[in-house]
This record gives sequence, structure tokens and C-alpha cells, in this order.
Amino acid sequence: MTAKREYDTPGIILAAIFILLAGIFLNESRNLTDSDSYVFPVAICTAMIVFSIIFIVWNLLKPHPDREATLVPGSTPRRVGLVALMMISALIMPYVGFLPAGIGVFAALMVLAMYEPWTWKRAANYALICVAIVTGFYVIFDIVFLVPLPEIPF
Amino acid sequence: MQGIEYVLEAISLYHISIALAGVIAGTVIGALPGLTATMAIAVLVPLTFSLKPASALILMGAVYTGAIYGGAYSAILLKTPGTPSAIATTFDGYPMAKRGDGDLAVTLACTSSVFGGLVGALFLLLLAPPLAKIALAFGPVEYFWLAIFGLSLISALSEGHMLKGLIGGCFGMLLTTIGVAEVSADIRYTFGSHTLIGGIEPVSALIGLYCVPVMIDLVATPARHLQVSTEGRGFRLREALSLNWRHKFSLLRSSVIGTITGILPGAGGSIAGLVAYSEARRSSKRTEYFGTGEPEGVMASESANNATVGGGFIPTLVLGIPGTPPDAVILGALLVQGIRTGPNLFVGGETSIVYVFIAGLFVATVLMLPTGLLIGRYAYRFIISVPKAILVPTVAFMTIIGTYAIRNNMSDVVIMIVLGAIGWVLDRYGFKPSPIVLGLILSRIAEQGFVQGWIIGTARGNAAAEFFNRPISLGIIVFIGISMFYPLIARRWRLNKELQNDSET
Repeated sequence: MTAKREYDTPGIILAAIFILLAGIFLNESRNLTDSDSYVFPVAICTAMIVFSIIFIVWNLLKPHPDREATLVPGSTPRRVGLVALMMISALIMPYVGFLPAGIGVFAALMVLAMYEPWTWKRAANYALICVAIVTGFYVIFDIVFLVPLPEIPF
Repeated sequence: MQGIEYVLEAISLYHISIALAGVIAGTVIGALPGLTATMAIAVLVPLTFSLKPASALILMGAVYTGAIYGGAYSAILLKTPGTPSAIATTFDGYPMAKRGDGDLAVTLACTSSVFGGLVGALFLLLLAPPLAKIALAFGPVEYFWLAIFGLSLISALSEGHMLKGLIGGCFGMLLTTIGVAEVSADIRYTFGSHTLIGGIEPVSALIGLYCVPVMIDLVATPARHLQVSTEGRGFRLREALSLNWRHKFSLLRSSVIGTITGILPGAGGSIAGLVAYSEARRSSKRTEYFGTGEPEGVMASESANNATVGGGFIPTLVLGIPGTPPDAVILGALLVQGIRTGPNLFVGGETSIVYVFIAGLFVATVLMLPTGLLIGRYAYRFIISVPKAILVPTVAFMTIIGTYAIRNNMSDVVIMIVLGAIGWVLDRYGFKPSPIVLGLILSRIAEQGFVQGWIIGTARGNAAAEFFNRPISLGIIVFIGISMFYPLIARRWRLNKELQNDSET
């Protein structure tokens, strides 16, 4: 009986994506006229394609799955929710201002990261903490360090 | 005794208070991801205008040294380097914190930073003029090879996954080519997107690649962020000092590497930390433990990045060329004060300013020990005791606001989040974030050196000779070869030795 050949399939797919990415950059390099602008990126793209091809060929000839490359257990909706909420905060902040967007998204992130049951007392405490932390960040960055944070537009 | 008057002036209550305030302010600012040592000094520059030149220098030096050390807190406790100088600290600092040794890692970072800072200041005191001349011998080609030397750390960081590490390094370098070209200033690889015109800011990218994946995993399970010991273990200062003593040669070597890297204009603490880490890993008897929570890794990175403070002041004060980005801000502040830096500063009428400042730098570095230990202890306690429902949004906001603050640009925040999500996926399948970050950080220096060297070489009719015929370049190339292939050779040598032992028994 022969042993089942196990490939590092996700690694091979990602290497193929890197080849595609390098190809896109190489194609874009043709629009650059000054050699100073493209000599380094072309060298990097070439190296990336060579390494990716070696990786794919080597894996196909001598299969060895990446044992460490496994998904850690946990809630996927919470993971996606975190990235989505952070992205929403970045997109709405210029339009609604740092403080309203910050407090809203901070509260939503608190709900997302909460694994204990909510009580009225806990909710009130966390609401206060939420306002205090976002306001604290505002004071430190906007007033002390003079970072022009997005203001409330009305 | 000649010189004692400078020391007495530096240890006056006034200067000690200034140094203490500077170290505390710098440490707190440096701990916040996105706020760099350069920004910390820039914010405080207006305060220095009302001070005497020596006092102003002491304040800026203290802020600088504190900020470089402060970057270690978030590197160790949140896997997010507070400043780019602390990148290499994350490699072993965060695994130490994960297994419950975060308090030891923070104390070790403090003691090592103090040691590195003192070595850097000692070099500044004793060897400033001759060492500044060495910096002038480095041309664009040497900078290119120095960046490649930093990149050779990829082989150390991705043992068993060398190809994935190399692909990741290329990906990181490719990301930095987006936006305005380093030498020609062409707009390139933006694919018509306005968001990409400003390019990918390395610090925001490294915040995304390191911090967002940690938060994504943090929010997914109810498990604690870091392991917590039930018994009170204090500062673990004795343990940290014992480790420092055990690895004294590594500590000294890392500090010297940090000082020399600091002298090279533009190289900075991040390269110093990475090169010192690489060397510590290569020469250690516990090579295989690096990256899994090896205290020597934290020591190497932290001593080297703090040594760049004294090292960076050497070309700044002797030649008027800033050694590191914060030195450029300090140089500007000195010009406002009417101080012209240069060789005459060490022999002319302004000698007292330099020597009082150097003595003040020693004082500030020593003061970093008690303040760093105290702040570190509270930072550690805060991180381990704060509920996840507060920690996750707080860290998320630190990354958002810290990234925004770098260039006051919300596009950087969007890029940071996207890169964080990409980094999480890549990490799951063996493409670790560290090689990508190495590529991001070192690419600019590499491109500038490569393109300038290529132009000079082409003009002379032999580009290859320009890269391979210069003695300093050849020296660095030898080190690159050792750094790249040593892990493979060492592993083979170890296996052979084990086989030999097995056959003998």
C-alpha cells in the first residue's frame, strides 16, 4: 500500500497568487519610463516569481504538508466582525467625526468581545469606560499631540 | 579633576528632574503604537526653546532613550512594536508573555536597554570623532548590503519554511514600491487608486501585520490573552540580572552593534535590533529556541536599539549629520538654539554643552532603570487584568488612532486593516509576518542604495564591480553569507554530531 501524498495545498495556492501579483506589478512596470523607478521592483518581482515557482515545484515533487498551518479554533463571525467594525470606523470617521464614530464602534467592539453575560450594572460600567477611553484618546492625540483628528462636521 | 564640573552640572537637581520627566514622557509615548521616538521629541521641541542648550539636549536625549525603551512594552505584551525599533523584541518577547513570563521579559527589556544605552553613551564620550569618520566611508552600495544583511535574518526567522520566508520578504519589499519612487519620485503601482498614492507607510503596515492578527484571534475565543502566574513574583529583577550576566558577551556585542548601526546615518534602531538579534541567534547555543520565547533574543534587540541613541549622537554632534530620524529633529532644535554642530563643538567654546549633555545622557539612562521597572510592572498588570471586552476595543483604537497619527491620513488606517487581515490569512498558512515586515522596513534603504549604486556603476561602465569590489561591501557580504547559511550548516552539524553520538553508544 502506498502512503497518501499530502500537499501543502494552501501554500501552493498562495504561492500561485504571489506569482500572479508579481506578474501584475511587472506588467505595470512597462508604463514606467525612468529606469530608476522600475529596476528595483522588477528585481524584486523576478525574485518573488523564482522563489514561488521553486516552492510549488518542490512541493509537487516532494509533498510535505505544513503541519503548523491549521486554523485555530474560535468564532469566525467574531473574527470577521472585528475586521468589519475596524474598517467601518475608518470609513465613517471623516464624515461623522472621531468622538461619535469612536464611541459607537468602541461600544460595538465591546459587545463583540464580551463572553460573560451582560447585567445592567456591567453595561453601565462598560458604557462609562467606553466614553472615558475614547475621550482620553481624543484628549491625548488631538489636544496634547495636536493630531488633527476628524471633527464633528455639524 | 578635569571634567568633574560637567558631571556635577549633569547631576544637579534641575537636570535630574528634567531627565526624569523626559524618560517618563518618552517611555509612555513610545509604548503607544504609532507614536515614534521622533514624534515624541518633535512634540517636546517647543518646550526646549526656553531651556539652556545643555538642558534642552538632556531633555531630548532622555525622551529619546525613554521612547526607544517604551516601544518594548507593547511589543512584549501585545505583539505590536510601540516603535519600529522594537520589531525584533516581538520575536521572543511576545512568546515569553504568552507563556506567563511577560513580567520577566519587561524587566529584561529594561535592564538590557539600560546596558545598551550606557554602552552607546560611553562610545559617544570616548570615541565620537574617530567613529564618525567610519560612517563617512559608507556609500550607497554599503547601505544596500547593510539592508540585505538585515534581510538575511529571514533565514533565521523561518527555519523549515525558508522559501515561504523569502517569498514573504519579497512581498514586503514589493509593498513599499507602491506610491512615490524612492529615487526618481515617479508615481508607480497605484493602479489608479488615490488611496495608494501616498504609498504604504511602513509603521502602519507593521502595526497591521503584527497587531490585527493578534486581535482577530483574541476576539475569537474566551481564553485569556496572556498566561498569568498565581503567585506574586515582583519585578523578577534578580532573575533578569542573572540572565544579563549569563549572556554578558551577547549583551555587549548587541550593544556595540547598536552603537555602530546608530552611527550610520539613516540606519536607525530597527536595523540595529534586527542585526543584533540575528547575530545573537547565530552565535547562541540555544539557536533553536529563538522565536519561541528565548530571553537572549529580547536582550539582544533591546540593548541594540537603546545603544543607537548614543551612537546616533556621534555623527549628529561631530559631523552635523543626523544618525537616526530623532537626531534630525534634535539637530533642528539645536540650530534654533544657535548651536552649530561639527568637530568644533568638541574643542571650541561650546565644549561644556556637549560634555554636560553626555553626562546627562548617562543620568537619564540610569534613571530609566527604576522608572522603566515601575512603568513596566503596571503596564504588565494592566494588560493581564483588564477584561477582554475592554482590552480588544482599546487595542483596536490604539492601532487606528496610532496609524492615523503618523501622517494624519485615514487611508493609512484602511491599508493597515486590510494588511492585518491579509497577514492573518498568510500567517495561518505558514507565511509568517516577520519576513514581510523585514522587507517593508529595509526595502527603502535597499532600493535607494541599489539604484544609486547601479547609477554610479553604470556611469563607471561596470555596475557589478560597484557592488562587489568595495572592501566594506565585501565584508558585509561575508556576514550575509554566514547569516543566511549558518542555520542550515548548524543544523546539519548538529544532526551529524547526534548520529555520531548514537553510533558510539
